[in-house]
Amino acid sequence: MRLIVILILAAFWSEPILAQRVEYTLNMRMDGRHELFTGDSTHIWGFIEIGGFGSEEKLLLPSPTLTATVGDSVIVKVVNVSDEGHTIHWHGLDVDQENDGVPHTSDFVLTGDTFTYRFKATHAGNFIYHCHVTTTLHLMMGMYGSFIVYSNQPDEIYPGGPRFDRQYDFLGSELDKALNDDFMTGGMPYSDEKRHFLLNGLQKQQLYEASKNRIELHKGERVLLRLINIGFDVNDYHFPEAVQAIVYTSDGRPLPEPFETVNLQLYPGERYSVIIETDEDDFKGNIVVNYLKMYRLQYAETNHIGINNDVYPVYIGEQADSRNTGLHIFPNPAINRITVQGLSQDVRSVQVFDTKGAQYLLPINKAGEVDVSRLKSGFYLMRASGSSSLSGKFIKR
Amino acid sequence: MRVFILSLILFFSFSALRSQVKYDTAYLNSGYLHIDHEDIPLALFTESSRFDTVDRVFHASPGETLHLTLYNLLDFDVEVGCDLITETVIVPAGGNRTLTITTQDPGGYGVYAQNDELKYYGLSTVLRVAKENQHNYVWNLRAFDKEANRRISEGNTPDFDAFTPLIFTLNTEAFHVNQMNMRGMVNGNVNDSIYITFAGSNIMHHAPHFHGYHVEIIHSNMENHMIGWSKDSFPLKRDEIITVLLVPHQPGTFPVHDHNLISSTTNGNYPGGIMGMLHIMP
Repeated sequence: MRLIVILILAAFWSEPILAQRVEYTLNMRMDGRHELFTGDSTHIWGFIEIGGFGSEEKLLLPSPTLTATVGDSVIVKVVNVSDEGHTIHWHGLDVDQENDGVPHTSDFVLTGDTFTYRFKATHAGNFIYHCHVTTTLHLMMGMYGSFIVYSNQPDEIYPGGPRFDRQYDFLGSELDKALNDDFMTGGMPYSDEKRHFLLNGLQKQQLYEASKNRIELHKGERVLLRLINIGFDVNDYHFPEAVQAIVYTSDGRPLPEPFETVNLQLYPGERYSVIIETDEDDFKGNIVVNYLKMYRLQYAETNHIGINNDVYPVYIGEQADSRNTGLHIFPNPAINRITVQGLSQDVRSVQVFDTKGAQYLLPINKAGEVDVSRLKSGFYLMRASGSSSLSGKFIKR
Repeated sequence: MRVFILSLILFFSFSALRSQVKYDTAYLNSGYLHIDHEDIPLALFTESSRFDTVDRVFHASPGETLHLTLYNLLDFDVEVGCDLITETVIVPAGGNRTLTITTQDPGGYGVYAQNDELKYYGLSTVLRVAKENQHNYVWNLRAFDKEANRRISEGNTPDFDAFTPLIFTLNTEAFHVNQMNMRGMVNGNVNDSIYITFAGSNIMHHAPHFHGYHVEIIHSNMENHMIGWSKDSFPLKRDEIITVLLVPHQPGTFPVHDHNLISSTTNGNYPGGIMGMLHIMP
């Protein structure tokens, strides 16, 4: 009888013991600077953790990643030390209305005010927190970060789910320098001309060279990628051929059937958990992340994530501003044939490079057409043969 | 006695047959959408010959055959089709034609002009196939470039390469914080089964996001690998019609909006554009 009573009490107590209370205190600020890959810097807003490791002074883009374990009670106290009102919306965490962070249905944290958000982390997975005040502007200014809910077992995606050896988070977003430089006169972020396409707040070689964003993957290991998109465009991930990528969760929920893929598109607000493996010894390669606009899925920009690779792959005549490349390539993506505009009539061939740097010389006819049918599927850079200034990019399907 | 039984069988069979056929009408109509102090020309399927900006949404039960008679009040012929059938009808200016649609599985299906410009201009709506006693909502999402609409209204070809939408609508109305979009309201209770059909009606892709809840994606008019997934944010591609099932676990008032946040503005003002609201009672 005594044993039964003990077991019953243990059953009741086990959940509160396992479920912890996680507390954060965040300041809402509007006085940050962020360095771009061009060497310029621009103005950012964001959240800064008070008392958190290394977060005492400088606003970071994105804001710090907050974490909890499934079942935890989460308490986040925010202090608005900025000149405007803000909130936090807990994107995907399905919190109650009071804690939802939408000004016209929930609370609004005015200058000098504090507010305490309380909710339970009910599902393991990848989530986002962001300001929901004048959201287009406040997001573009940088008021967002990842919120990761871990499983009870630190090496599984969700309770009872697949296990992994190592994990990396990638948060896609965008920044419009004109707007960030002066949000009063910079206009709304409709223009693609001055947009910067970011992963973990970084872009191009700046992203590639940050060691924390370089994936370490060895034969026999399972590496978890937490992919999150808080931007306005589609994040279009292409995995290398030698990497097996299996998608296990989306939006903090296990998929009914995990699936293997070479290409994964994240629309704005979506999140995925993907485990990658390789059978190759000493594999080196890159994950290509294209940014596609929501109208016609037009290609806008590319970032690369290195896997065991520290040589940035695309500095082959590429200019600092890759949009100023001079070549118009269509259709893009292409299947068998592309047309290239912007070349002089005397150009008879183009150089094409894959993401590993392999080079192909392809003939181009007088109509500007290039046969790409023999290329493998993937992302390619093109340079006009004999020219160092004209370059372009295309995707072969 | 035998004749009586036979008559009864015939009567019930006839009744059953009658219940599987439905007749409906709509008008191909043009007018103006008045949003943010601007008049934007467009054309819609409307309920009556008098223009209003409410999209005509068609309903049928699974297995029902819908005879849809379309009256064309525009001054040009319009070819109209539906996702469920391969045949189309050309509705002459000033005339009418009937589209016969045999429905199958529950879900949302497009009824639209075959011409891309007219489809963009507003001639695109939804046939919702569902049981009548369900909570069924249809949200039709559009992005309008005022210049493109003006050019179409004048009989010119729009320049879609320069497409710059500033007007975003849900059921042809934009959200405003002081005057919420009444056509984008969902009312229900905790544990209800609420079906919301999203239509990506013109040429943008969208990314609806639910606050407060995850929903199950249960149907698409396109090939969609997300059927059966539980999501709070999902892609809604151009011309795609997705039906989701919401079973609320908590009460509250929560927005549902496009997370391509530019689409949650009207002429640059946030909140606006594509935003609906959920009102869930205990």
